[in-house]
Amino acid sequence: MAAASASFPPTALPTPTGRPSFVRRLFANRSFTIGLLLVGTVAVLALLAGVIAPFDPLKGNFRARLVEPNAMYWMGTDHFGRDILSRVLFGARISLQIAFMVALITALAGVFIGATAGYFRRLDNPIMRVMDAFMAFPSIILAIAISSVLGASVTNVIIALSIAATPHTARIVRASVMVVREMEYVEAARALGAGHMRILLRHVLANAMAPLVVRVTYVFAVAILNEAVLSFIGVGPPPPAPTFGAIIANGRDFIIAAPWITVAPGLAILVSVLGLNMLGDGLRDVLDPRMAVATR
Amino acid sequence: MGRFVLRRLLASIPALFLVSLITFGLLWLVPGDPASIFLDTSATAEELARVRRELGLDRPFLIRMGEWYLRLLQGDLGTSLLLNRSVTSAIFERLPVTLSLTALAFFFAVLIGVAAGVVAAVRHGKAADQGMMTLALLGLSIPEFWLGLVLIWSVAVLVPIFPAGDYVAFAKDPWQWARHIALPTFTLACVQMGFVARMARSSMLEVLGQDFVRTARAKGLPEPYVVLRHGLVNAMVPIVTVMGIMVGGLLGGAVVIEQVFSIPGMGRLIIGAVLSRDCPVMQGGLLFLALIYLGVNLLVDLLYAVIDPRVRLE
Amino acid sequence: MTDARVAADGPMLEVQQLTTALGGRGPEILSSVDLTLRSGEVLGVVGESGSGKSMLALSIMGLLPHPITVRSGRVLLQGQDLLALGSQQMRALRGKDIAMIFQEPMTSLNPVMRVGQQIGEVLRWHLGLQGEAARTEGITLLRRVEMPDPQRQIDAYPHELSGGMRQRVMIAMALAGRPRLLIADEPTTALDVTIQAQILELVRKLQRDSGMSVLLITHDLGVIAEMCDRVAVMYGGRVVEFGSALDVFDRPAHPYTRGLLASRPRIAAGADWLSTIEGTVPAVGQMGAGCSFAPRCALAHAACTSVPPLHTVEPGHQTACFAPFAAVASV
Repeated sequence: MAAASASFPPTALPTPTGRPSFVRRLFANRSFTIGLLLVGTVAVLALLAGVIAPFDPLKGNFRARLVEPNAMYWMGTDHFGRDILSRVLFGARISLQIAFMVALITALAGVFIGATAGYFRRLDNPIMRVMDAFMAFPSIILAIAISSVLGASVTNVIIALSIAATPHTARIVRASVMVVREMEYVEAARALGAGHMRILLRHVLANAMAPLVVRVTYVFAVAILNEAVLSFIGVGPPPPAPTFGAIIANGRDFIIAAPWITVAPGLAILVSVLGLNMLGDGLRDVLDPRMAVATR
Repeated sequence: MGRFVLRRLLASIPALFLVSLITFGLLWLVPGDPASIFLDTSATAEELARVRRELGLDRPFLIRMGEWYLRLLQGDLGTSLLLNRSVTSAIFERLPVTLSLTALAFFFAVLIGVAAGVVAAVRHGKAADQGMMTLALLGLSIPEFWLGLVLIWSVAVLVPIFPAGDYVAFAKDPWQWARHIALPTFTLACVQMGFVARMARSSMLEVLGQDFVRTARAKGLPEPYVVLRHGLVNAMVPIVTVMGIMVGGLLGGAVVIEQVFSIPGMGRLIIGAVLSRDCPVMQGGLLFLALIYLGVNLLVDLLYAVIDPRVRLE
Repeated sequence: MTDARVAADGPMLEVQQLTTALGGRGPEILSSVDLTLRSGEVLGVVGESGSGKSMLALSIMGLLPHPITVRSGRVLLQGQDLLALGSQQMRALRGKDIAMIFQEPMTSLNPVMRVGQQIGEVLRWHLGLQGEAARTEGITLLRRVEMPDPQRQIDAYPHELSGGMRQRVMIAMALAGRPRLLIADEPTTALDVTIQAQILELVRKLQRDSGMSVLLITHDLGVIAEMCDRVAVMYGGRVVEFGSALDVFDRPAHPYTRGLLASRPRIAAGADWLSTIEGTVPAVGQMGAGCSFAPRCALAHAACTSVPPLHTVEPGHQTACFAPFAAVASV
């Protein structure tokens, strides 16, 4: 015997909740906006590298070797007399290009593989076994191995990093797909005769979007870090490409005499990755409050 | 419980097989003739032939694979092209160094990360919380090798508190071992510390809001006891889940940190092999790392079952 | 087995003008709540979701979640003001003198801790029992709450038990400290109907045996009728009617109570539509000035723009309404 609380038949319609739009909530999130600002600044500077770099990053001035940061060389010069600021700007461009391609390829491959594994039950086990096998290698080591075997070049770095990042992405997509696959409205759509492809695209992928977007942001950030590691070790894009890792590797020998060579590119990496992480946090908070990290 | 262990072990066999396949297949990715890539253009036909024979390139593919597996099962990973010694012995010599570095870093990352996360969760919204999370975010955004270099520059060269590199075995001199391993361990642990701290905080926040914590408080139990015995124990469950991935990140990072701090471990071995195209060492090292990683993941699964009794029903 | 600590005279619990709100200047959740629980009696607090009844329980226990706080009022446990106590002192009472059981036994028990250990915590911290003594007492408690096979179940994990068994564990944990006052917040709502009856029966038996006072919170009028000596009806954070269960059910004085009782579906009545109370419960902070029920009340008039105080309609029966129903025929 429960107490009644609403009248029947209803005498008034329920009012809409009036929640602010997705975009507004996104920009109200502090983590997202600061992250966007940081990444945006780096991206703009990188894209305009060719225009705003004061010097040629590859040309050395032998009379200006190992100069401390001053009015002419804002970040100093290295042992060849090359302007560090210009090298960092072009390094940013290379890094962002590589990371962007890696994120794109990983997203596409991850969605394709993950959706296939998640939706078609019979393919699930074999596909995921292969993914698990790849995930058995720490990703940076896998990337180093593949990159070294293929040879040093921008393309090979992209391939290596993509291969390293795809399995985990596929796993995330697969999980989302499996959740939606079981839902009743998918059954209903199937009963109405909708084909696999259509169901997949409309219902299933829409659900996977949120974790995928967060994951891709993360992949982008890690790609920047890993590309720097590859370059530092020597299996990245070949010299004289002014990648962050290469600059740091060069600067290592002169760390006492000229610490600025090492400090500048490292800070650039730090700022880019920090911005991306904050961006990712903000996205995650807004897309799925249950996964919220920054604002709770 | 025993059956659970057996089932997990059996489940990892296909993964092991695939891993070895990938490692073996890596050689195939090399464009052109692997032998000639290893040696430079001045190599004589004799030397090329020798290398080709070593790598087994003169035999058909399937036979090569069969022989490789046969040798593998006997524990023979081949001979290093560069060092002219057995790969297995080279690995076993370096393994303890890498493992100890990784284990230490893991221990500190978990200890400090969890502690920071718990404090941040209990002081939710206050200065301590924000401060710790900012540090954690910085920690996981920083490139490890760069941090290592910066630390070497600052506290090993500029202000010589720590040595700038190298490794001293614990057996030889415990104090020097500690001094030498301090910076590398901290650098390696930094990134994972950030991850763990954030995870621990969000996990704790979620657990502390649950009904059974309210029940514990309703029973009049002291707050620190509630936070630790009821809160942390349950919050650790998702953290244990990611411990496997953590170790993967640490192993990868160790490889790079060994380069930076000149530590004679597996990492340096593998990177040396990578740079000089010493395929057997590269393959052997990769395989070993993957094996360690798989083993750790298995341990994590078992630990998970110990902590959360609900899992044992599966 | 009446506990000697239960006072023979004097009320067990007195809530006086308790006002609880959201933060320093936020909307009120409980407004000037007055009620009295006599020693050894079962007092039911009935109301819909949003009436504030759970908040009342948490306020008494001192477990209000931040940022909700008590703004004013007193809560007297046998004369001692609980709200004036420091956190240490309050903690000493919780689980020992005052115990609480919750609605959802599944989520209210620690999933990774054995049931016996969870009961043992109360025994250890409040009664100083350790090891074997604690275990024996735990088994005794389980037997008291009619748990089948207590010897084995004491080592069980919550997920290995059924809903009814888990609620018995909750009750055992609550009784472990020999409380003077037991607060039960919707103890049977999450259980199957047949189990509900068993648990209620158990609680009534335990109450009779130990003489402890019980504050039973529910939205179910049937539970009130079965279990409670007296009842307080809450609406919108206020007590709107208060009296013995018989009086309130027979001669409801407040229009809301009348509406509640009238809306019970009756098979024999043969009506087409179920009788309802028009409108919905206002959300926190959206209550207008004056009587909180006025917007939905058929008898509302000019005076209802100010909050009606509780006044006596007949001996032992109070209501907060300016135009109460005179004692008329039963509903």
